[in-house]
Amino acid sequence: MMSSKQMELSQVNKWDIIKQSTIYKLKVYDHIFYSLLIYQLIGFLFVFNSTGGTGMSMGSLTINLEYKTAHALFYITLIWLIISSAQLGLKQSRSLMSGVVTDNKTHCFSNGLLILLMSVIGAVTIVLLSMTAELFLYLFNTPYSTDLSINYFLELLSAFLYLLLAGNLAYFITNLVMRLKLIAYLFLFILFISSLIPEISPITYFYYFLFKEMNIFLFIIKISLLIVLLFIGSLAITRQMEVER
Amino acid sequence: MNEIKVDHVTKKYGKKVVLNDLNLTLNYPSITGLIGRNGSGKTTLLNMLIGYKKPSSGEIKVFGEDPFDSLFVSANTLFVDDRMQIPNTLNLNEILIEMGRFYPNWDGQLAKKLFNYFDLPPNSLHQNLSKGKKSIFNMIVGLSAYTYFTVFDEPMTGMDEAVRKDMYRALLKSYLEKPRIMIISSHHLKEVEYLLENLILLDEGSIVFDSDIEAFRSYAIGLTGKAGKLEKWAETKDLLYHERVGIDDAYVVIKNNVSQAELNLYSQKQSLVETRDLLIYLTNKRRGVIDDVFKTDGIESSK
Repeated sequence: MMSSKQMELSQVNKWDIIKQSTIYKLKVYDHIFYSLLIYQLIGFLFVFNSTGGTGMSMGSLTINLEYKTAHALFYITLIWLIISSAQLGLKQSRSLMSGVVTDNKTHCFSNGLLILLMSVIGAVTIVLLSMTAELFLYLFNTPYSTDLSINYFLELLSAFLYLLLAGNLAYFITNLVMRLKLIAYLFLFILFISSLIPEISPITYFYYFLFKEMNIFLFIIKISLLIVLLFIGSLAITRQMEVER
Repeated sequence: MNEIKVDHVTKKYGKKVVLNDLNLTLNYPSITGLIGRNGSGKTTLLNMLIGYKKPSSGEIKVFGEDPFDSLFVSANTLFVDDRMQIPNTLNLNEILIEMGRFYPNWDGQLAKKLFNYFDLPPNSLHQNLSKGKKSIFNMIVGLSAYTYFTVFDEPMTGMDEAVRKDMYRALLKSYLEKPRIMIISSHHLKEVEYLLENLILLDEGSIVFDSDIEAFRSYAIGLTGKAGKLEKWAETKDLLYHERVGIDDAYVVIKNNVSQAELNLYSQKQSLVETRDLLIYLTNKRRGVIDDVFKTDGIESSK
């Protein structure tokens, strides 16, 4: 005998869905983290290239100095994060969620969490790999000196904040292009034209406003505000987005 | 509150009107067929009911809420069609597990049993399945989710006849197990009509018919008789179709709102009209038939 059960409408908690969506996307986009391995392996090799050097000699004594930094590692991780974050802003990313429980807001929030996680992983791996590079130099008996005043925590924090900013910027611009093409192209055109005159260029102003900030607390406040503004912008843009399948 | 209501809804893409002033109500529980010719607006209507698209004007209420971008509606609906987005980085088994985490009424046991019954490879990627197997998988997701409102848009694409028969039966059993609001949109009307309680026929963005399936079956009547007498009389009624049969007989289809006495007077034979034929008669605005395309100067080419 067939049982017949009255169905009830299911109530849903927004934060539960954000959590579920983030876990789902971590599994769906796991290839992003595998690609980070490849990017950073390439970046790691560049660490052993000198970024500068100097030399002097006094009689029979010759001194050659080579400078090595982990900047290549950082820049390559930055490129990885920008590409990955932009991918999250594409229409295909939204339509991929159409088979599960979602709306534009939870989709955006879970993307934000994903960008945050990628930034944390990116920053931690940059610091760990640069430490590994120092270990290699030590093991291969290359006489070297390191600035012992380097605060690894500061290195980690600044890498994380820069990556998070870049990720949110890439996500915001992709959403802008997907949703408001005309405004996006106009914005980029104006930016390009103004960059030809450095004195009035917003890029120059932005550079001095953020990257030349010497006070660590002010820097953290400025960059955090920018990140939040960019994320709110992404939320606003995607609010009324229709699903393309 | 638990119903779906469409109130004077119009959808335009630029100047093109895809849906024109639609009004309809779907009550709980019900299983409704949505039929119409290609380009009649079925998928657009379904996309709006699910909340993927917004109407240009008018109002849609699904369980008392605007479905567009609604998390509540999303949690209680599922749209199953061949454009269902399934990630290609998870295998089929993993996808079923993920679906179970999102849908509160998910029946994992049923999904597993259907999976085994239809011989789907659990470690395969969705993109590597054949067309028919993809549809089978999508249907399994649709049936196992037990969402309050489930839409099946051409769900049997690519399936062979034996599998379609099994799937229809599974759909019916699933519905009887937990009655809900279901819409089935299919071109295979003859196969699916026994499942349906109600039928909505869309033609060029407007609703031509919206009632129970029995009313559709008895909507029109087919009459055969002497051409001259029958055709002349049929033209004064709601004539849907006519053709000459034999030397001087005719077959006409008219709306079934005529008395038996008149039917007996003007026709020699009366018959029910097949639902799939009725669909064509109600929506066919073309002049002539396909054979005319192959005629040259009025003479049918034969080579």
